[in-house]
Amino acid sequence: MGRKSILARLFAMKEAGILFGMLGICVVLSMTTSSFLNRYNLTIVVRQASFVGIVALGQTMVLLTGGIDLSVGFIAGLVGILTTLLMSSFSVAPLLAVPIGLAAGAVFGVVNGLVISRVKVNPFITTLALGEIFAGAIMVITNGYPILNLPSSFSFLGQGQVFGMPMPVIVFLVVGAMLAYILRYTAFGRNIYAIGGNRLAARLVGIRVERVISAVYMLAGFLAALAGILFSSRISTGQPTTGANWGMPCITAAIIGGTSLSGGEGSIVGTILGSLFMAVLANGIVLLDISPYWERIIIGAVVILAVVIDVLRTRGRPRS
Amino acid sequence: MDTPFLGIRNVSKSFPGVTALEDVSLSVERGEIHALVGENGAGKSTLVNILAGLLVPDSGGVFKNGAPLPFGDPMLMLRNGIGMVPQELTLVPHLSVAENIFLGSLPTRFGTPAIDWGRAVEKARDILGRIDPEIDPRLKLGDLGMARQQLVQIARAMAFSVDVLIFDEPTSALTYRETDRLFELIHSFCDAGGAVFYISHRMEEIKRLCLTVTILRDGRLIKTDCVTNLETAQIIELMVGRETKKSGRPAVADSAGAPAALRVESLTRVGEFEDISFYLHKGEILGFAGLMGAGRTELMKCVAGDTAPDSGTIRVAAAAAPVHFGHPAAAIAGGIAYMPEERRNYGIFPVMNVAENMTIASLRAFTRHWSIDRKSEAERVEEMIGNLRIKTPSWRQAIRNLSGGNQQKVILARWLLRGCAILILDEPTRGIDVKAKREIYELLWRIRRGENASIIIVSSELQELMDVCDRIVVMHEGRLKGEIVPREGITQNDIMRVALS
Repeated sequence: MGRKSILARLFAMKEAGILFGMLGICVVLSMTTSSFLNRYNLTIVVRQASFVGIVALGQTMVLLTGGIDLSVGFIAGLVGILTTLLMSSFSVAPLLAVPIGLAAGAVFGVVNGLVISRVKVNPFITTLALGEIFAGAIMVITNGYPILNLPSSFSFLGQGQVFGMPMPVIVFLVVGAMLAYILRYTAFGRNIYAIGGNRLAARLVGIRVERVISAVYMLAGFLAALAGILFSSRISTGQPTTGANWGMPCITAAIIGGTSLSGGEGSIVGTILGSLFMAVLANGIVLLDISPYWERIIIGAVVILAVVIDVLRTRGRPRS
Repeated sequence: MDTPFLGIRNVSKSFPGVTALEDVSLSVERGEIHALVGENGAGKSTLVNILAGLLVPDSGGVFKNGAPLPFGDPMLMLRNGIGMVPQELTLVPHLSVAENIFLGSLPTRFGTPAIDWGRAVEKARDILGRIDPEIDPRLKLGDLGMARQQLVQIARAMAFSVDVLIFDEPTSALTYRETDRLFELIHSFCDAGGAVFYISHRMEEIKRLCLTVTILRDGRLIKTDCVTNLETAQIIELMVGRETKKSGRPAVADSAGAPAALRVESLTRVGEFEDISFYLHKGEILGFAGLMGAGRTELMKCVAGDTAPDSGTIRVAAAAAPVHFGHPAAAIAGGIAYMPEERRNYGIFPVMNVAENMTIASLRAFTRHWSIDRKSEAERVEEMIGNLRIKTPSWRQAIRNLSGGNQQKVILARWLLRGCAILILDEPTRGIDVKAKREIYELLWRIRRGENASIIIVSSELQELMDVCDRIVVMHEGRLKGEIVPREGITQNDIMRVALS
């Protein structure tokens, strides 16, 4: 492979479409509105991207193995409720309640993973069913009422800033960096791609497929829990509806970012860009005074566009 | 000049970046079995895909009895009497045999869209009667074995009363007996006035079956001649474009006294194989011959930890205690690597690159402080690419873009990197061209010499086992029947005699 210019290599990357698409929209918004390109607005946008973004990072890992997790939104909601309940009703200190909540999320994820990898139930059905159970558990526990009276120290996670950066954004980027490193530089990451690329071959080269899959769903559950806790902290409430509509957007973010639904292809960078893209789009709709009802239509169109671009980009490539 | 029965005139076809066919002209007459040979990528498949209506040529034409045929519509080609039995079956496993035979032209009731099932089954039975009366047209296709599915594909062509049949490597999944049966069928088809194109990498078959042979190389027609006018070596030479060394095979190693690398005793998996005992000596290449369904693949999967035996023991090297693997990972840790048949489904990770495919089994060796040392990984991979002469632009290339032979070399490199003492190769050269086969054999000899590894080869090609192995054991219907030392003059019949004894 010869030395190509940086630009040429950028274009060849799977993430190029989403990157340039997002920059394009940013330029348009900067020129057509006065309120887009300023620190305050951009902070809102990025923070908005973080919650679903963190969930999408875990979802990306699951998608890379060729699976899917429809329960992550409800795990986020349930963990948000459990964590806030511990603090408000049982006076558990945030420093203890948060780790317990995260552990609960990991356990929920492992349940998904074990049913999928050991019992060999299709991931779509497993996570759909368990998602329903988690959603139901939220209502049983709360009767639909929000959980209030949280200790003020809890609000730092969702509302605090470090060096002017909102905490959720920091968490999002740090987790993203860690996962990107894991995927690129560890055997665990390679094995994830291998399982998604050819599960039968993965077993024959000695990968303990069931363990890796369980671990990946655990990770997805853990990250969903993290997002749920951050969001609860952000609104200082254990809100029963938290996460209820995160399930599809987190998959959308991964797909816009170039992750393949059939597994084996995709990246964390793509998912981060995909999450930001969706937040910028939502922000743009508000700033341009378009009816918010249009948001989902536009996002749907963008997904189709992203997929079409990907098909065009890979066309002419020899098939296997 | 007489009008040929089927004439291909000046056909050219190119794909982005490659000329697949360049000005190819040839013709067949009724009753002729015409072999098409060439290395992978020589243009055979492109040519027959044009004939089958799957591809449209850039220029040139195909004429039947002088009349030009339309391109690009498989159904229309079938109606014009040209049918293909493709290498990979293109039928629908969930549908019945009868449905598959008439797919696209199921008989209907009184001109309504309602399918006349009674008539479909009856007609199917009628056609199958000429091919294999034991196939029930009401069975689900997927429940039939590979060979029978292929026969259904032939029945499909016959349902359209074709008089030109194209076979693309039809025997690669067939047993010897099934192959004989297929050849009989082909002969009776030609006796009835049909013409056949026959693609195969197996020279013995071509010699046995075909009247004429056309050799393609790099999309060009090199020569068309009577099969009897050409020696096998000449054909191969014309295919490869240079003189090939005849053999280069090292002497058969007599390793009877060598220590054991693997000892299998009374291994049984009910319904797959029974009471199998054998030794693999250090530095030996042991072949497993037998018909399809003899239980060889099942045995190897068990030895390699993919399945668990019902009874019996496996011992590695001089160890006294038997091993219980339970997972391929344990077998690999114990030094046994398994390279499965059907490379594409079980061997490669198509979207991953050459390096990732090569190191996937030995990532631990490249891991320092929790992360893969990508620099040393790349170095080792480069070294392997050079050593095994793997043809790839770089290690960054996605493995699916490599030819079958080079993919197989990458998989071989995977286990050399892992340092497994026992390599089990299941049909290692299926679908690989002559030159690449040779290279893989040479690699195996080198590995045996240099790496002190022991090798088991399962192959349906007797010639391959004769060329490569030090010792051949024969399996039949799940049992081990006997042993043969390869030497001049051993034929298929000897193997069959041992198998059936």
